[in-house]
Amino acid sequence: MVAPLAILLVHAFWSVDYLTIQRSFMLENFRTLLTSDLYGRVLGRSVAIAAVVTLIDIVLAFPVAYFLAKKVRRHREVLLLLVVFPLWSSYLVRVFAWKTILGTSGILNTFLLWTGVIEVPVSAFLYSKTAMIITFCQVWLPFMILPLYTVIDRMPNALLEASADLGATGRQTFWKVILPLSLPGLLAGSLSVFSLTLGDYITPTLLGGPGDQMIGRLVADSFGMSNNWPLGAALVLPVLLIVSILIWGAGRFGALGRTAS
Amino acid sequence: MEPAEVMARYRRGEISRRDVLRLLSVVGLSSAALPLLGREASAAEELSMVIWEGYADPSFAATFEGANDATISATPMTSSDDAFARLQASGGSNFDLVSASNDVSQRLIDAGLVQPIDPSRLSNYNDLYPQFQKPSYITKDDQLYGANFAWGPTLMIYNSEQVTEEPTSWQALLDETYAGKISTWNAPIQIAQYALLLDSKPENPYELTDEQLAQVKDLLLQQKPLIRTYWNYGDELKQLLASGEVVISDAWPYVAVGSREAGIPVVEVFPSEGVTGWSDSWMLTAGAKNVDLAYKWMDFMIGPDGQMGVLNNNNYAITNKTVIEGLDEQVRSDLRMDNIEEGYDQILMWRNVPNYDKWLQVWQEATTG
Repeated sequence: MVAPLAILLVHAFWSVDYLTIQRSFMLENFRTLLTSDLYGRVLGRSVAIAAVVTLIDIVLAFPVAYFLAKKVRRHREVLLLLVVFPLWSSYLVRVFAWKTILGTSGILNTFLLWTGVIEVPVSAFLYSKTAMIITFCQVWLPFMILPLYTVIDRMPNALLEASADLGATGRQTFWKVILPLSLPGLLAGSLSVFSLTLGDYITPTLLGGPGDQMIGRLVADSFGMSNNWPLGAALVLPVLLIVSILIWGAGRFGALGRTAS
Repeated sequence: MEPAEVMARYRRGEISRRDVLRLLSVVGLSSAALPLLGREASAAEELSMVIWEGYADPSFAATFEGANDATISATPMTSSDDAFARLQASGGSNFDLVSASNDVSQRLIDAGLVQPIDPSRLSNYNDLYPQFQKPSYITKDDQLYGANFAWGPTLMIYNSEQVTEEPTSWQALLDETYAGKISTWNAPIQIAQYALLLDSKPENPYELTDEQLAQVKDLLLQQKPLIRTYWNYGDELKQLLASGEVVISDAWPYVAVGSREAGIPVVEVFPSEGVTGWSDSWMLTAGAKNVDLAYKWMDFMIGPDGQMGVLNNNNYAITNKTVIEGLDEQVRSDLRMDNIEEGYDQILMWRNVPNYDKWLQVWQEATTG
């Protein structure tokens, strides 16, 4: 587990001269990252998109998880299976499916034209941040629903009933009881969705517009196009750093959540 | 024939494995002899290659597969840099062949990812036009590194239903009229094409100063908001044209032919500033596993079947003199093959770019940022 990361770290301090990698320690790559405004801008954009996707998935996943855990009595397994079902198809297939839905002559535009909501096809659905966010939210949603379902399922009904008996409104029960108790699952799901989005380059490449590319694309291009492995390795480090800090932070919060219960 | 002689002729490639097996099965020896035939005996040999789209199209590759009891496993590349990265990743041993263009061929040789070839093993070699037999881009230290089999331009194409006024300049790819309907190839070598639009047009678009590169970057940044999406694969661009997402782009003739076959009214233009272009050669990778079969493929591709295959399937110009002379006059003039030397020079041919690391940086900053 550690070896690949070590190789990555070492590469980040090397450089490329025409065709060969110069194996001498230098901070050249990091200077490139800091002096060119490209990398900071793309990293900032990536973090922002990942955060938006995570928030949307929390809002979408919470009712589904609560419904599955507390309201469904029969066929729960079948419904859970339906949540996981999309994961059985290839990631690429799901991304391409969105392409056919969101295209200028795609399903969504055809439908809106048919209903008369719009007069001309909307081109902004595809090759835009909107397209990327919709797709990310859909493909990573199961990773948010499942951990939330697990914590809510284990939540004793007695606590919810006690809260109601003591006069709390539904809203108060949600904010004071359900949400704090769901925190470990919420953090686990958010970490998954955030990291999966932050590092992705396929969805931006296929569905993003010219100004919407994310940090994963720059990393992929460093290896697959520029043949500059050291720069690619250096680009990965800030991403790893961000994710590590989040995992560390979530670990602390998770521990707090346990003592509270 | 004595069995030993059969085996000797098999090893020299004079008779196929299928013939040997047929012969041996007659005397009931096939199962005993299978191990002698090596690992190919268990399944058809697989020739793996990284290619530009269309260069192993079943329309002609099937002929080769049938004749040599081989299967072809072809991986398309999105750019020369993509091919280089794929070979680099394994030190040139994950593919047998690469259809390298003249911008990357020298880099592949310098990096030791390809090996010299022996033209005496190619029966069609002497039919090539002299200028394609030993061109500088596939030669190093007087050794030949490839079989040059196709060439052509990167043109401008447009949908004639959507674009009513025929564009004549590359400026059309920066025209607000087509905002949101423009695409351009996502390859750093395209910087040369956009350099043709600079106010003081460079003598040689492959030798640009830092200042000229900065000017091209400005052009690309100016173009960016007008771009629907950058295309990577030719088939991707066909799709973009078919779905109406894009109405004008730069492209290879392969895309235009394919689009017209699919019923999309795509027209090619040779813009007034000139066009860039490429000359492609089959190169044998340094770690090639099926060297004999790779030679047969190279020979096939510079011979009549392969040459006509590329011509018909991709609409690219070819290099075999005998085949070209047998062509219809119209086809020859359409593809600038009626006077090869002149036709070839009408295209600003790709070459090894000296400050290519800067090109890569400019391209990435302008298109990804």
